[in-house]
Amino acid sequence: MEEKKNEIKLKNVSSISPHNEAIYEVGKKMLADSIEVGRDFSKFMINLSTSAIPIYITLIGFLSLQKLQTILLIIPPISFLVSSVLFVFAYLPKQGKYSLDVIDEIESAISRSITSRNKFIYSGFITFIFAIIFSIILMTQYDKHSADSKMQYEVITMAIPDTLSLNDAQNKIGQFKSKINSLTGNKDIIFKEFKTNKGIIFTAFLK
Amino acid sequence: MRNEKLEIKCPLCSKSHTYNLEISRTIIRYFCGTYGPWYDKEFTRLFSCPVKGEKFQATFILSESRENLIDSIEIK
Repeated sequence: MEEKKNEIKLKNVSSISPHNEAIYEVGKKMLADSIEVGRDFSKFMINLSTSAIPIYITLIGFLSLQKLQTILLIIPPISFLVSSVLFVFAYLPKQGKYSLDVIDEIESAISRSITSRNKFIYSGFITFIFAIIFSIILMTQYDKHSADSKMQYEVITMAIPDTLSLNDAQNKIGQFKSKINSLTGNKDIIFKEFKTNKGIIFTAFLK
Repeated sequence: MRNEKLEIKCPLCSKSHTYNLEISRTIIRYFCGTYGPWYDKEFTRLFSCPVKGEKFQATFILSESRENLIDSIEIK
């Protein structure tokens, strides 16, 4: 059985078929281009990530999103910057020693180079996608922010003087709330209390 | 890893060349102890003619079984 296992039977010998020759050429090209493809992609992504920063800042200004005054606004440009730095690391030439006489050494050097470059490319690309998605979310917040600022409210107030006992005040507030809720059908009401010198003004904001 | 020699009559120069094949196999041991039958598997590889320096293709057959799988064949 051991002999059968290692026996090699030659079936057919011929010149390379056109199909195999084409595949061989494609394989040769893929191997030769394997390093350049990653570098070209990194170069393209460095330009894209860095140019995304001024575009983002322009859009923020255009949509007046700076009025939101939130730290979230600086997350996308920082992410774009991090992404472009990661692509720079991917683009940088890799150090390595190999002898051109030893095929295995060249193969492992190519493999090492592609593996380390891919790590930076993947992390840079994920950061870039994150920045894009985050920017889109922030941009869509603009509509909400703008709509909120233009929102018209109907205000109904009720004064509760200090002279009223706590139980009476609570009953009065309860009655007020239930009346408002029954009138509006429990939709979009904001209740707020404002303290004054002479008591509390209980207010219902209806959208 | 096992080295095997393969002698091929070159279609380009009509001389016989000997190539070293490095055959890597995965051996699987089953607890149930049942071993599958051996079957033939065809491999087509490109070989380089040392005289003309051009490539030709050869198809050869190796035996494989469920517990003795061929991983790779490299021509040295």
